[in-house]
Amino acid sequence: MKLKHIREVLEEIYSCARCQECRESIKIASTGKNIYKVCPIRELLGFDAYTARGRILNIQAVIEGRLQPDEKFAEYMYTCLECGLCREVCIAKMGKGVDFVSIMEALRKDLYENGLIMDSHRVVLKSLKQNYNPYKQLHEDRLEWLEDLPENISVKIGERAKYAYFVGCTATHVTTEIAQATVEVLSKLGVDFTLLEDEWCCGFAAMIFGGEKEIKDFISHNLEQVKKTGAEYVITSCAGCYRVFKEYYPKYFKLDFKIIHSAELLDSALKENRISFTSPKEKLRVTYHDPCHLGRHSQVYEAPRNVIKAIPGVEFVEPLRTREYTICCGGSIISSHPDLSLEVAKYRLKDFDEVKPDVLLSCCPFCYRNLSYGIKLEEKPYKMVDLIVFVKDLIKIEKPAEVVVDVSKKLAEYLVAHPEIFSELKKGSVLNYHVSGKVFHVERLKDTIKVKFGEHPKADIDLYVSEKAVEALTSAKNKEEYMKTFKTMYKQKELSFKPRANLFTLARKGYVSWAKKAGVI
Amino acid sequence: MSNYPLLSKLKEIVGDQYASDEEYVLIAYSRDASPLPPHKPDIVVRPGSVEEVVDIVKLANETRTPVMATGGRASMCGACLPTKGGIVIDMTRLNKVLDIDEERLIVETETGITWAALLYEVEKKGFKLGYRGPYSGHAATVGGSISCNSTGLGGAKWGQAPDSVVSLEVVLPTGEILETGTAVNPYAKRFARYCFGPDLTGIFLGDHGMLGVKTKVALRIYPKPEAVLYGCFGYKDLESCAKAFYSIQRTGLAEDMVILCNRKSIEYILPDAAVAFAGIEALFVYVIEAETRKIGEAIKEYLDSIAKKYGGVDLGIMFPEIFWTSKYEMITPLFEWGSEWAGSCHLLETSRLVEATKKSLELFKKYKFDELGIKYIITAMCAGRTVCVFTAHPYFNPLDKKQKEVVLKYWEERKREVIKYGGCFYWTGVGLYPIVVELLRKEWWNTLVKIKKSLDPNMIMNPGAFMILGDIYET
Repeated sequence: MKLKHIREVLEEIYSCARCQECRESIKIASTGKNIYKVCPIRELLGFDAYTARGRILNIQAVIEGRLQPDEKFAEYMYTCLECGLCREVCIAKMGKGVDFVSIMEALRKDLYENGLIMDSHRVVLKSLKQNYNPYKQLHEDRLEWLEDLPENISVKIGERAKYAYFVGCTATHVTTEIAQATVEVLSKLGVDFTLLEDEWCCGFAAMIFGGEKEIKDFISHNLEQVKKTGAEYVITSCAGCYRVFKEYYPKYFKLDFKIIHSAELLDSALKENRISFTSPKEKLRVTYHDPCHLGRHSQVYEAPRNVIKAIPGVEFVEPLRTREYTICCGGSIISSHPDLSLEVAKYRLKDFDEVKPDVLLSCCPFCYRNLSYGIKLEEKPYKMVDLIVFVKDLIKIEKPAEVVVDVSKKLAEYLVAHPEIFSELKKGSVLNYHVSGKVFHVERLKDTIKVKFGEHPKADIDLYVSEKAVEALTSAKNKEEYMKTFKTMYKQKELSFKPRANLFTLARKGYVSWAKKAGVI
Repeated sequence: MSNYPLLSKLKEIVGDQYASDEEYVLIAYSRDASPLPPHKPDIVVRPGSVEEVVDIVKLANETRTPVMATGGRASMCGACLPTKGGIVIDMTRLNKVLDIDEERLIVETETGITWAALLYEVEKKGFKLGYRGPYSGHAATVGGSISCNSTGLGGAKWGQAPDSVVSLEVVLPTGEILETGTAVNPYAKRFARYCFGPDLTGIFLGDHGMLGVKTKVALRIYPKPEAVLYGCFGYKDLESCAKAFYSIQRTGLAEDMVILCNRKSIEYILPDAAVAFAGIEALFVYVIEAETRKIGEAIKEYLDSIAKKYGGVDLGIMFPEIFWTSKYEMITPLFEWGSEWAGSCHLLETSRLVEATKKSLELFKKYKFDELGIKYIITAMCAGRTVCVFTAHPYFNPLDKKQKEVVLKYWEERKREVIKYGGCFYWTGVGLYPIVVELLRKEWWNTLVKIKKSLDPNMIMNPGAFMILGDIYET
């Protein structure tokens, strides 16, 4: 087998220390992280071949000439969900983790270019070439879902608008209620949007089996389509499309628009007090599944949660495995390994059984499709609903109200005015500040800092600051006085911290010097 | 490709989905965390009960097939490598906690459970383990650790992995199930280890799976502490640091302790700290777990006073707190310096820390590690009140041929040097046995061979770990 792409990630492949963290780590008691086992494929199929380490050992055997890949090998490698949980759990490379997703993507490109994709992938490929979607649905039928929209909603197609709604293949052909709900919500919000005149698959379906040429072709076509609309934002309700637009499109082309998920749009509208929600007809216990492509791959965790928490009459409960440690729904291998894909969905649903919800929400047509099927087969006592569908009829348009100045804002504004407080920290350091139930984060840039409301999912450290401490800290005239006050408040237990990054990372980012100045050590 | 001859029989025993001779499965079981070359098994099985283990072992014995029970397979010297092929038993399906007895203060568990999983289960019930597993405890299984005398977390107070063991259930190489400790009395529960005669439990601890397959183990547990306190002290020279470290270790009051033995180790691990703490040449951390905060504070005051007596600078609690609240995550990050290492952790009198550090540095100098950009740490943990686990690891990039060649050459000399200066490896494996055979007392080997022959007449069990035993027998 000719190896081209895999050679580009050799350093990554050989940075695996074979420590086995990726096998079945349970880190709840040992580190306080909500990691309860890692790869669902390993949990279901059992052998270590299905861990990241096991796959890397096999890839190394190929590179070193000890193993000749064949169709069986390809079928085995295509069982990987590419969900990235192993990368999240991995602590090699000073905690950064081996980028196993990149390794698997490179391998799949080589498998594809050597003719080692599976028959099911060939079917998808044929459909992509003929119909520009993986579902063997006629391309000309792609707008059929518009027919069921309420009469008062009109949708522009291929016209100029500020927002372009990229529907995605699954919402177009399979879970059309998500597409319909998105359009209804956009209309309700008064968003100036259009559909693309000729939308093709975002490229995700080709990415699954490593079809790099196809990905590029699809991206190129869709970019032309977006350009025609002059859109400043591409909005999507699909986690897969979102990730491909955010991560892959810029790899090949320079983008002159921003990509946003519908959950982010709702979150912004909430923050700007432009909308609120009414209660559902009955009180509901609601939980949320983080789609891998929106969560782990794109770091969008807060927006959907902010939306759910803003709905009155809804009790929000998190499963044990959530956010960055969530378990994949199995959807990404549905074409190559449909049975296994469904088993993964059933495995994931056990997490939700424990929190006993009425409704399971998510933000992705793939997750919706796979988990719904699992719920049906397992006869679960709860239903699955996509977030945009769930909120569609609950949205209430508000007039923007004045933002109340709160104590957390006071501290945030103080810190913005005093970036020198963080001078010991290296670029890229992030601290979450928790004040009176609100969270903002400070990110160290090259010469200054950026303060943004909301929790940063990759923060190095969480700081918990009492209102008394905020008053004291914001009274400090300069850094010296601030640090002195910080020390006093720390001793009085008015503020505390909890590191998220490991010791090595903290030391490399300058936290030890910072903590020393702050009197914590 | 034809299937492995025993495949169908093994599938009958464990079920179709739990036995595989697929090439990609075998490759996944061909390496551990050491730089040793791969050794593939012929087949991997994942039994789900002791009865299945018995049937596998009986089949192996009848057919004289090498068989090796494995756990986390992250060992550092080939202890779990199937050097003679045969059957690898992946024990990780046998991972159930069977009983947490709040009266006897005993946890009974299957041996394929990881330390992290066991810690989670025990803590949920309000208890803690004594010895808490090696630094690879997210992957390492209890069975694996007690089979290779592991050291690690909680070592200052609780010693090594076997020290917590009360009783075992072992499948012998001929297929019988042996119970040890008080479980030899069919009317008794597992509550003590030494009874009715010699300590048969001990024979199987540290055996690297060559005398039987351990399927169940009873370990001591303790009430979860109300207070956890920490200390960290830096010194201007290793001599003072080592004296303070040993003085605190000897009190038996610390739950855990780790020392960084030279400035470079501090700089490599904590570059920022090294700048923040100018003039610190060595440092150590300690952890206290106490029944009440009052007791904990009294202990801390006492231990701090010892640390200061030797000139220690108080470095605060940040390091030890992070160390203790991110258990099992302190070694792997260091592989940033190269994903391969040459481990030589060994037991040593703590009083000889300074001498051992000097020897390590001399050997690093001889092999020009600094010039070649090879990073290393010199550190020690505790294994009881007077013994430390001395560690001097170089890390290398497997893609750098020069680094690899130099470190592997160093490794061979290092293992000999350790034994010759009186250090004792608690582990073995294919990477160590030739040196051990050459340098250790012959009577020990002969006795080991006699025990092995009597329990395992067909020499089927883990012939790799103590390969020389198989060779002696064969000749």
